[in-house]
Amino acid sequence: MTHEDIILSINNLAISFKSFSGRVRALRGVTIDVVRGKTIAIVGESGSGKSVTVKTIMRILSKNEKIESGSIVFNNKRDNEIVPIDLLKLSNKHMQREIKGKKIAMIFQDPMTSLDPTMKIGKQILEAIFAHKKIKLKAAVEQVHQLLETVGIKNIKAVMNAYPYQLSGGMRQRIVIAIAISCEPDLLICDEPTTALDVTIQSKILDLIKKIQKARNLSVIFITHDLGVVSRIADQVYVMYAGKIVEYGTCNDIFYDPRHPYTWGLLESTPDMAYLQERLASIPGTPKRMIGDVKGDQFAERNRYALNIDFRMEPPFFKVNDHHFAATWLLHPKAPQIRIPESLRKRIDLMKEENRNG
Amino acid sequence: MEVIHMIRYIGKRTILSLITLFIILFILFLMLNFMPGSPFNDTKMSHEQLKILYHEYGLDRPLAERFLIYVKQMLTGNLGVSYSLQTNATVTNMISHTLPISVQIGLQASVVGSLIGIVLGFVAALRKNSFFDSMATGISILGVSVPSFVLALCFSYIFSYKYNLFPLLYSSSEAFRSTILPTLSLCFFTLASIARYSRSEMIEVMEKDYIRLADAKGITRFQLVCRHIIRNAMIPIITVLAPLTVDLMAGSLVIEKAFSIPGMGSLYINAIQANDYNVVIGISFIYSLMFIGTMFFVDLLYGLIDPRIRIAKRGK
Ligand SMILES: Nc1ncnc2c1ncn2[C@@H]1O[C@H](COP(=O)(O)OP(=O)(O)OP(=O)(O)O)[C@@H](O)[C@H]1O
Ligand SMILES: [Mg+2]
Repeated sequence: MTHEDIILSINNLAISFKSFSGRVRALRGVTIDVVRGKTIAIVGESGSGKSVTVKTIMRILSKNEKIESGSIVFNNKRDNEIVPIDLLKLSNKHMQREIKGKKIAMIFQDPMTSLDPTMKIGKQILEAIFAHKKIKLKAAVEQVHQLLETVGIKNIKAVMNAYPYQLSGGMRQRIVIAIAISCEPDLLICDEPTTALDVTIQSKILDLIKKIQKARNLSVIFITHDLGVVSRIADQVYVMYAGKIVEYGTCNDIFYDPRHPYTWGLLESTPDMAYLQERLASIPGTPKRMIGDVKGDQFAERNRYALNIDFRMEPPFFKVNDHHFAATWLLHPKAPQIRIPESLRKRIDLMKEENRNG
Repeated sequence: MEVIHMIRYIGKRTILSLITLFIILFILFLMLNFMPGSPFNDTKMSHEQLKILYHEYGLDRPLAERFLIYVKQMLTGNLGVSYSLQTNATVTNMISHTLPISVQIGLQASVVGSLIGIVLGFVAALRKNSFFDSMATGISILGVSVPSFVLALCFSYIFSYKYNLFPLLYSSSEAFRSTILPTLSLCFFTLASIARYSRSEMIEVMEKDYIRLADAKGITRFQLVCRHIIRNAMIPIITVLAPLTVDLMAGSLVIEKAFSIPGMGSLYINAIQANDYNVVIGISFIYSLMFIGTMFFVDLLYGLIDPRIRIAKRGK
């Protein structure tokens, strides 16, 4: 992939939190490339470090957070020229004035708590516009109308005059989306934007994000732990576990040819993929907190297929094809031939079949 | 539309307040009735003389009757007469002479206390874990734990006795200067509690999702603090203002004594000691009125700043 294609590249990002029980190593060398105009999904169980990753991009840092190493390079497009900026090196002021809201915007998980309860909706959207645009109030109000129309709100006047608590969760998430796209950002970060919503509304919001992404040629980072959602929205998938990417590839790679046992576990535990009336398998155990120095593959303890070496050394990335990589010793030429679990195999075959027919 | 609902709401609250006051009055009457002693504690008086006095003031009548007479009089603005402190002076008169200075000191203390408290708390929150923050915390702990009369003593010793900056006791020739030390001693508790409370409220608000979102819009830190953080932190702070004002009223009794201020607090204490029923009831009534009034005012203020409450009220 050429340099120009990539809008954001996170390189070897390591982050830790100071805590009473020691240093919590939340990210341990995360590398992610976001291709311009495409959607990448980051999936993984709770606590794997998805939010920490994107919050660091947006510089929403906790007091006890420390960036150990790495860079986040944003390839800013200005007059057809690409200017790479390391976001970690920018001053707060610069970040606030030039990046946040203007180049990179974010949609948060819980729409019920993401809007200021004491401010009218219209004003909250206007504030986002005025943060980066020097225009007259009338023109700005006109833009608010257009934005609200874009996100599918009908009674625009009433909504502008409403306070957040007067709107439903779905409506509020539409407002949050309107705020996010108000200054035409290049990159949109969505941290589980539908998790807090009803299933029916989830799918509507998802469609909306997809529509906006297409219409504006946005690049999107989409965080979720729902693989069903991923298959609907993403071009590329990064599977994250314990502060590391363990497998990444295109949607097809991850869904039809998963290689990492953790990805297998995730796929097996996804209800959307339960075409057969089997009981859902779930990954045994829970992710452990990484405090102090860690050794070996963090997933080893929960991994049915763990090899001896997994407990001693972290696996590097092995190449499956040009765009598909997985960090598991199972891909080592000398590793025993372990096949994907039979039930998952069957499911994938069914899916392929269905795709061919539908 | 909004105005009509507002008026209706105020009307409803007023009626409720009146009922509350009526009940308070009745309880006061009951309590004083069962209190030992009498307003006429002169040991030289004979039993016969006492009986005549009791009859003269109608104190020999049954409780219910006395209560009704009192309420009837009160509605015409007559709070009865003093029995013993200033025999036959009207209570209304006594209160109107002592109330202004008490209100002045009380208002000064609550304004100074809450303003400085809020600013102190907010700045401490914005500079969490800094030297300023530790200092503010120190002041808060001191202010909450040291009783106001101890402060009053310290202040008078330092500022009046040693450096002679303010009068030691109240003097009407230097009326305003005389109120400064009492105000300071009185406001310290309020200041300290508000500072502590504002700091924690502000820190809590700063962690909220909507602050993150507002920040993600790319607005400046100053805008974030003014438009979002302070406004949201103010809502809970306003609710604690009311009880704190009440604490202030209680504190004023002691402070007025300490500085010999001829205010309502001093009068109240004297009246209680002398069993001067009408004065006690009159002043208690005024205190209740101020208390209920404060709560009412704070409630309205609360509605103004928090749309959820404003609209909920309109809906009902
Ligand atoms: N402020 C903090 N202090 C200490 N540890 C933290 C802090 N914030 C996050 N962590 C730790 O970092 C790890 C990753 O957290 P993160 O919020 O990124 O998870 P996530 O993948 O977004 O999970 P979820 O799906 O629940 O949102 C967790 O183990 C968490 O305990
Ligand atoms: Mg998260």
